[in-house]
Amino acid sequence: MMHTFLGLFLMVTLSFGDVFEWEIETDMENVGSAKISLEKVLAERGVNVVKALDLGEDYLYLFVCEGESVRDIAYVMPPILTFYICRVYIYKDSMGRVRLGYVNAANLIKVFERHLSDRGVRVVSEFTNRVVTALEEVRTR
Amino acid sequence: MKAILFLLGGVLAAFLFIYWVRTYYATPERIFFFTVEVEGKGREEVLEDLIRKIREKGLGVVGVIDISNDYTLVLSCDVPWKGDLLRRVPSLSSLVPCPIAVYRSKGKVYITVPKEIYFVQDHREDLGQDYADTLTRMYQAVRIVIGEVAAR
Repeated sequence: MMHTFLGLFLMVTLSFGDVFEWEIETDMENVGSAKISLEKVLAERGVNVVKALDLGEDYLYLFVCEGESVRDIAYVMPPILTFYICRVYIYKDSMGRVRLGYVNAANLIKVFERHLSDRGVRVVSEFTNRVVTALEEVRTR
Repeated sequence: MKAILFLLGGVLAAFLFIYWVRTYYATPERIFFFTVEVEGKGREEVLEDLIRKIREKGLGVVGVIDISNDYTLVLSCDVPWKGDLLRRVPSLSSLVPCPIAVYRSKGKVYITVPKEIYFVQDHREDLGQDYADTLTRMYQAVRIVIGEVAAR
């Protein structure tokens, strides 16, 4: 109960969405071509799409956590893998633009770093940086 | 003099309390996640029980992802309205499908799932009351399942 109260306090003082969410717009024509480009760019950075779910209405959910770096994260902060960092989403907005979404990794790390070891911060930062740079590259393609 | 000492003592006690809360109590793990430790069962048994229970409750399993020998993520909550929900608030794929982790850490087995309350509260306007309530009930059902698996 106390945790929830403290969480609500944080939520009221900060907009949760603004803190943890990050989206970019692309010039892609549809979510399918964005997925193909993103998979390729992620693979170049050693990040593979483990599972892709079509959640309907031009919305794709990509699960991108695997490999040694992710096993390190699972070791240093197990719950964090359920929380944004494994998920990239692609969708078409109401204006017909294809957008990519991921966690605002910098803010996520700020919130968690006090409770992570130096190694924990490093492995989470390295992994999320790889995903973020891949998304930025897809945007400019 | 006594009053000053009393005041300083109070300020010091308040700082120590805030430090304790921030460091040991209000950790992100406790604030953002619902986590239970499962005693008397191995991780594989917990995972099987969890998946079976999720299916029994009609929550559905979208996928099961093994991240390591000690860590498996179950993507649950295969609900027919997910497309409409994500059209309203695209970032809510952090909640739907429901990511439930079963993992072993320091010899103990845990089940963890993010708490939905902060996301729902933050997006209540875009979601609408019906979806906000439905999401909350769905996560309550997930927590009940986790509790039942841990209690068996």
